[in-house]
Amino acid sequence: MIDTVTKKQLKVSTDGTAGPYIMVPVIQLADLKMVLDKHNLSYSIEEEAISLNDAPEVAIVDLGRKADVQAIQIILNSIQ
Amino acid sequence: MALAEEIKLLTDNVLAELTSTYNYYTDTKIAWKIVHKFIESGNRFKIRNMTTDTVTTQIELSAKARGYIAQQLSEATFQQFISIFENYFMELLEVWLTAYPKSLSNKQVDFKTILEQPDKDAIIKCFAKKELNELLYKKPEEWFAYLRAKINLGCPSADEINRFAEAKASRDLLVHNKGIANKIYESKAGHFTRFRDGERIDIPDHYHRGTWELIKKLVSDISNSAIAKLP
Repeated sequence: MIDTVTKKQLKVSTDGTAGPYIMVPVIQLADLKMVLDKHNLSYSIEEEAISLNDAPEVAIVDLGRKADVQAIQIILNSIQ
Repeated sequence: MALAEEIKLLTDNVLAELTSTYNYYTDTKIAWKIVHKFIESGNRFKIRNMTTDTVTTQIELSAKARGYIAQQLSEATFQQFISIFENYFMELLEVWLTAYPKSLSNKQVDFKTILEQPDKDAIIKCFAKKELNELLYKKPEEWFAYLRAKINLGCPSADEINRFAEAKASRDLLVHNKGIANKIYESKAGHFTRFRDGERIDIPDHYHRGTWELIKKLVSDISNSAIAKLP
């Protein structure tokens, strides 16, 4: 799944101690939710969407500490 | 696990938790400073709360940041220091009383409570917890008097106990009285009273750090002395 703003592959990030997450433009949030729901993956969306220097808003999707990072990344990579 | 090892493990965990809480405080302050620098450099951002649809700009966030650091952050971490010590103190006494249960031998408890426990160890633990639960609601002076009666450690000093009592009284005001000093605080804080009845208390940097250092010292001194008492 390509980030429509950066034109790069959406990535499951694992930095920090709060568990894996995905940063996604808000305009693609519904599409990402559909993908996660389709694979029965649990997640929660952080309430705050941030826009930096007038760029499109970015949301953060938390995947939970037990998330299978590799499997989710494979799913994201498989979507054009 | 031997008692000395148990105390050592408890102490290591508590000191690590204290360090982690203090690091959270300084890291958060630094993060806010970076945000401030970022804004000063001409960057703009908007944060939209997707639940309430409220938008906060960099100007509004920068204005809030000083209060977040000076009040919310320092007060929250200060309260955590006290909670960490409370838990440490009660856990230390629990492992000690469990290892030396004879000091509880004059205690009375319902026969029903005994019947509910699976074995003797569980009964002793239950007695210890009941005793310590009563102690928790007493003044810090009484905590340390209890500690002296059970394990005569020769520490902490009277000055350290009084400083801790003031810190605990400040924490009680933050939790139960919106941070406003009252007569009860003045009485609990004694010579170390920082505010008078009706004043809003604060947790300045030096006091915040001083309390952390005091608690770290109390934990190390009490644990080391307790271990040294063991045969």
